[in-house]
Amino acid sequence: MAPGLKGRGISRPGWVLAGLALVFLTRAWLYSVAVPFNGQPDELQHMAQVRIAQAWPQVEAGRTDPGRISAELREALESLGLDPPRPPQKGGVMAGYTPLPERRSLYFRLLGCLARLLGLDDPFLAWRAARWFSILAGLAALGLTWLSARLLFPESELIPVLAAGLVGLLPQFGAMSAAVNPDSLAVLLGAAFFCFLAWTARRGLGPLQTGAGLAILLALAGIKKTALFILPVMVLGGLLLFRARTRGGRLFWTAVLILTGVLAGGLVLAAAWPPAARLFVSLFGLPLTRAWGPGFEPLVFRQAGVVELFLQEARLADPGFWLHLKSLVLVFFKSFWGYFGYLEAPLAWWWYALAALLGVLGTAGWLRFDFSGLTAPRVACLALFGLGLLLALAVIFLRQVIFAPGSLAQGRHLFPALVPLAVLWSAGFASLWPRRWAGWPAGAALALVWLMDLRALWGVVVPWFYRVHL
Amino acid sequence: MVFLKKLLPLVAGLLVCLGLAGAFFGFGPGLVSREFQDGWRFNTGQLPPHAWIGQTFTSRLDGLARIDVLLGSFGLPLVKPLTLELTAVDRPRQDHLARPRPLVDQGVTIPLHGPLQIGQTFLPRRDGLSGVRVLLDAGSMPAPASVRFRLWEAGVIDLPGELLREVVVPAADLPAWGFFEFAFRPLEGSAGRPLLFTLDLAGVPRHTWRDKTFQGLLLRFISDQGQPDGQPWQGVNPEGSAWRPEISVGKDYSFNEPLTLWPANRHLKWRYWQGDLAFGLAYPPALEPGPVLRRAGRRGLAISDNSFNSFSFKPLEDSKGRSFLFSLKTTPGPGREPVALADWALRYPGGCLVVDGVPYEGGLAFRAYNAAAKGTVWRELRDKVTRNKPAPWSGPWFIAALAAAHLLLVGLLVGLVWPRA
Repeated sequence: MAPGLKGRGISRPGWVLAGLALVFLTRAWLYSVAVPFNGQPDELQHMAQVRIAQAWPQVEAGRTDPGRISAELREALESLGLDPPRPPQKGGVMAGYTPLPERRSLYFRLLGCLARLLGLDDPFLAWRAARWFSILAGLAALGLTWLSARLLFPESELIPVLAAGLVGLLPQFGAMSAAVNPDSLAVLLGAAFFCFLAWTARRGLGPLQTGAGLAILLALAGIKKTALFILPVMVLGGLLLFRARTRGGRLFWTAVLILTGVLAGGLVLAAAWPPAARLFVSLFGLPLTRAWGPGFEPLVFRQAGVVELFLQEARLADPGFWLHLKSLVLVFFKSFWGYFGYLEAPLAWWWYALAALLGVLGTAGWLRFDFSGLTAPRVACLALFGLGLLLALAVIFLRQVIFAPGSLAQGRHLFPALVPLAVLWSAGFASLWPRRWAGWPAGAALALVWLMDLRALWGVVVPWFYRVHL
Repeated sequence: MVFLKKLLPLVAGLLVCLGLAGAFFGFGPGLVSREFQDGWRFNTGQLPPHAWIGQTFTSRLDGLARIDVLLGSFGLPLVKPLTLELTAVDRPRQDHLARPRPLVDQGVTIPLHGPLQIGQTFLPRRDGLSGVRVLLDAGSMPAPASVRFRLWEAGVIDLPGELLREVVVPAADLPAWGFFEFAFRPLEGSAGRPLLFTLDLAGVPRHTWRDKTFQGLLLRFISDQGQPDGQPWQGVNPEGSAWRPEISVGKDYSFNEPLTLWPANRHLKWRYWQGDLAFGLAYPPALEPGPVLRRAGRRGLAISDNSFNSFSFKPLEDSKGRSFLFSLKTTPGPGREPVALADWALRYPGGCLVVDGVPYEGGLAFRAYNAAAKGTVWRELRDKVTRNKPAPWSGPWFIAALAAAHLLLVGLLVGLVWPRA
């Protein structure tokens, strides 16, 4: 069993969670105040989508159009003189971009609907409200991380503190939680999904949990690319739960057989018969096509196929490929911890070196992790957490290497898998040290992340946007 | 007493956090920037050891203490170290600025082989043209081969005019990938004179043409029409175009159009491409750096990609109203040379881009910082953060209270957790 602080541990975990939540709130609010409009990636485009969704009844009635809504939003925010740093390439985006209305994903529809219900006609108020949605989604993700860790490691009070502390103090997460970005809903639903897994592993699957799981599944079906890795984890998790319910009997194996047959048959049909492939895409493939970008459909269905493309792009004998991969990994790692603006404002390199040390310690701790005290469902849940994390990484890097080799892998794309990452890292980190004084390195680790966050906000973000060094 | 005992850890945590934050904010001088240009649209190319790139500016404040320059390192964690030198200049911007060379990392690679000849028309902005820098790759050129560079009057529509200069360079002296300067005797009266340069090969052994690994001399072409996977780059060099003679003898697969060869009789029509070769012009230095006022270095490991990298030095007390030039040079070390990022528009009014002593139209992305009292810096930040924002975000006390609340909460949290650990 992972070492905890039971007996002499934190006696008021609720207070600690409340404290962490308040720290996160104030810090995310500060980021929200400090980062100007469009200071984080594509905020103008996202906000324009929200406004289009908000005015959708008028758009459908022909009283306005997306181009006009985008232009009005831009003019309104520019007239406020928010003074975002606008390099020319982003100035171009500011000047003439109109998002496609058909790309109104669940996030935009939800925020647009909320803004319509609240009567937020003022673009400034709508923008602030949309940022607050992200902050609250981040706060909920923090709570769900805590809950997941508590459910999986009820004996330890250190692991939930570490996991929630990492999420609550992570600089990039704080900054992204203060921006209008569809990632926030993906992060929230991803956290809800993993918490749902932890809940069912610990408490079983009742009607309420089934309903919650189905709701998450439905919401995830319409969500963006970064959360898609969850789908196979969900299928596996569902099978595990079904197996537990049927005690691994004939019914379970019949279900596995049917599922495998349907999947295999569907794949064969889609591969062999183009109309079936198109039908597959039109029925189920929208999130998939979003995942791989607009080039996916012609690449898969009109050309040789994904495997050939992969072999073509993954040039293992070419040093250039490894150099590209190395730079992707570096940017990914840096932007997971803190790389602000449009990947323009990094921390000093030694902050990342210290962050890497934390990562190494958290991973190394799993060599000392004691599984003996864990029940089978909890072990299965931890395995699903690990699988989810690996799948998230695989999706991110495959996408970057194969389908979007010109773009950069960003650490924020991993945030929908923040719960498994935080829980697994915390459990590993806590296991590394003798139980007697595990709290000290844990405290030092969180202190380091807090200092990094302090530095990020006041030493990187503020100078980058306002050209002053405090 | 019990209450005080319970309170003690909270107070201790609070003091620790406030102390850390105090040390954090109190450390080092405050800095404000009045001279800056944030935008960039092209990278200025890797800096070879003998070259330098810089920017002129005029400081509006005393205490010039730091210059940040936007640099690129191609995602590499380690590049060659850079040194920044600060000197004073009389005039931060001159007349007849040269045009900066186009992007080095855009466009398509085109081969120059056989008797093919490729060229580019251009219109120099300055007198004394002394060389043309062409981005090329001579990695597959055989040793006895050479490259002939010829500078012509551009002539009328389809004929080159008088031959002005000719330079022949052995292929062995050319880089595997990089800008090479074909240097020649300065051409007086070159400003505003339509010129053309051509490149062709000589001395390539006959058997080499049959060698499938021989690619010829590789050049970079940037199309005005855009590449299949890129954006059109209009205005890179509006005063000229890449060209080649127009005789079809086969198919050029790099362009999916007829391949043309250099004809025996050169009195034939020329074909202009809609785009440019990646090239730049060289002139004799017009702006020599004076005595170095300040010097600062940055290690290769500490250079961040696509970010402002700072060069700090002892504040220059009497900098107000003076014009300066900062120049960047690479110093020996492992890795590739970093690149400086620049804009070809003159968006910063107080200076311009300078390459090897030649003033260019455009500017580096940079920020010059002046040391200032902490109070001044906080006031400046307050004004900028709260500007034009409706209440309650317009209230500086609101933001200060938020920041203080954040610190207090962290302190209380430490006090809550620490003694239990």
